[in-house]
Amino acid sequence: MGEPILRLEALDKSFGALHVTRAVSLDIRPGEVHAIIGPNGAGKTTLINQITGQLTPDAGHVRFKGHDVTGQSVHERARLGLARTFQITSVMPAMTARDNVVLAIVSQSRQGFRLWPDAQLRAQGRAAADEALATVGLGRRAGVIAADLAHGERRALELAMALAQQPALLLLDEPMAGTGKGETERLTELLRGFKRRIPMLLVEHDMGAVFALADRVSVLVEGAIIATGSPAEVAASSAVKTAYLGEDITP
Amino acid sequence: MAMTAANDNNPPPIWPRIAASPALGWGVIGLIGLAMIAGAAFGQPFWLTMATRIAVFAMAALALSFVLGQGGLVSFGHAAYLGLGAYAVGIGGEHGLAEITLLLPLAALVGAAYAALTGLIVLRTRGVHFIMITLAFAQMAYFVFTSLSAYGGDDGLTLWARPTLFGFDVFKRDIVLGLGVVALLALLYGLLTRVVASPFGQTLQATRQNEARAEALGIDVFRARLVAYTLSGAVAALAGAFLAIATGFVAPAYMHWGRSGELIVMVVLGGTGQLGGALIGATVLMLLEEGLALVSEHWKLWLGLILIGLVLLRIGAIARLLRGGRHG
Repeated sequence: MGEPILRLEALDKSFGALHVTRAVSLDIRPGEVHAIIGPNGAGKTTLINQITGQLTPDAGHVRFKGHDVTGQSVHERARLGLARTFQITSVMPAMTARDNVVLAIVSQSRQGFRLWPDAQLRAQGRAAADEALATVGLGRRAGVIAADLAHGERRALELAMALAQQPALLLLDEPMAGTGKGETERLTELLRGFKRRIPMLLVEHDMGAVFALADRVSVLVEGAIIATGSPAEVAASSAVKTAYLGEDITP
Repeated sequence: MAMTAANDNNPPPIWPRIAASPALGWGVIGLIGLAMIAGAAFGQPFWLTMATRIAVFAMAALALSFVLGQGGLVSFGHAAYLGLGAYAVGIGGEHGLAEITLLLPLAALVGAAYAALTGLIVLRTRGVHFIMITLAFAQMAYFVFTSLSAYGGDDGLTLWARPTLFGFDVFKRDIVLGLGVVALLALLYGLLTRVVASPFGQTLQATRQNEARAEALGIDVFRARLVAYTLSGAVAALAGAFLAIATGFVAPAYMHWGRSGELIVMVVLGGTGQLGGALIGATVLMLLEEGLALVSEHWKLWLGLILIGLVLLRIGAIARLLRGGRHG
């Protein structure tokens, strides 16, 4: 199976008396889509923030591509190939869709501090950006200011930016949140197209999407992982059923 | 979406779409230069003096606009760089340094150094804290020079002669000095406009529009801000150097916080979205001050009322008006 892309080793995090992450260990193998599910308040966002570097765990380690990145900043991890989408769509509102993706490409190739315009670099960036936009179905919206895009389109744009970073791991924080049914199906289909090529960590409430995409599912309850396994195994687990208080989590 | 719009502190995306119109800025620079030539030709020294002052403050406002408009960093201490540049010339002159090709780089270096050093601290703060701490560092510089009795202290320092250019005493003539300021203003405006269009310009705008997203794209936001802040400090110090040369005098008053506020008013008045706005804002504010002072003893009251009116008419109104109200 090879070395895991991401390995969390006994992560622990408290905010005052609130113990939000309890000894979480988890790994993501090359080519794997690993979903994290859990009820609201289970500590999913806190866990993600420790993976991306916004939060530093009180104890434990985050290893990404074999490096211990526990003490590294958000942008350092991003440069190593950790790309993400946010729960609340996050793009550059005043830039066009194309410029948003060019920004991702330029930053990824570490050209973002060049103080002089470069026509060739720009042309290359635009071409690559248009390609990424076409992949997510925004080919004709490249020149539109991001703030003027529809919600679903901004979601797709954010995904195009993450893909343009040529990620070693794609972290998707509730990508289906706030999207309609048709949009959810379209996004699921799109993500399925990247399966095997790009490992993904998927935090999601939409069980349909989780079951359609995930190779393995981990269940986070009150800061601790109570089960990890194939979607079918997890759905059948009695511990999971209890944690969800009888909610039916099969799609 | 309100969420994303709130992260962009420039007026809504009217600006970026038309940001590629640096012609406005060039027009202003051309007019300032013409006013100088007209002043010299028609024997109106006041026009020349006024136009030179406008060019100097346009340069300082340009520097502030770069960090404030592009980077979203509301520095309330940019007068410090004006003063530091002026003192570089003043103190350099005291020690026999009178060559402008050395004085200007010295001023820029001093400005850049103070910006880089204080930037390491101030850029770790945000919002109101950033405003207060830039103000604090400027006041610190102000009080240091107030108590620096070797160089005039509170009373300031008189420059007995104007610097030379490659040993020639060309700046003795006011028109040469004036056009020299305009030439440097044009050069800096050209350079900064290119920087705004460069990958770094995009990076800087990204840090303003959405810091979290910028970090997630691998952008070292702190470093980007530090580079911009340092560059801005150098440009503002160049303006200060010319302020000292033009007035023949350097005083701590150049660093007073009121002057920092004035620079912010200039930038906001002209519109923060593009660099040319700062040139317009500086010109309009200085002409207003001068014009109102001719008309009324209570000109500051009138100026205040006019500024309030302009802000109520929406920030950036002047630039939109000049553009024919296409987006008004």
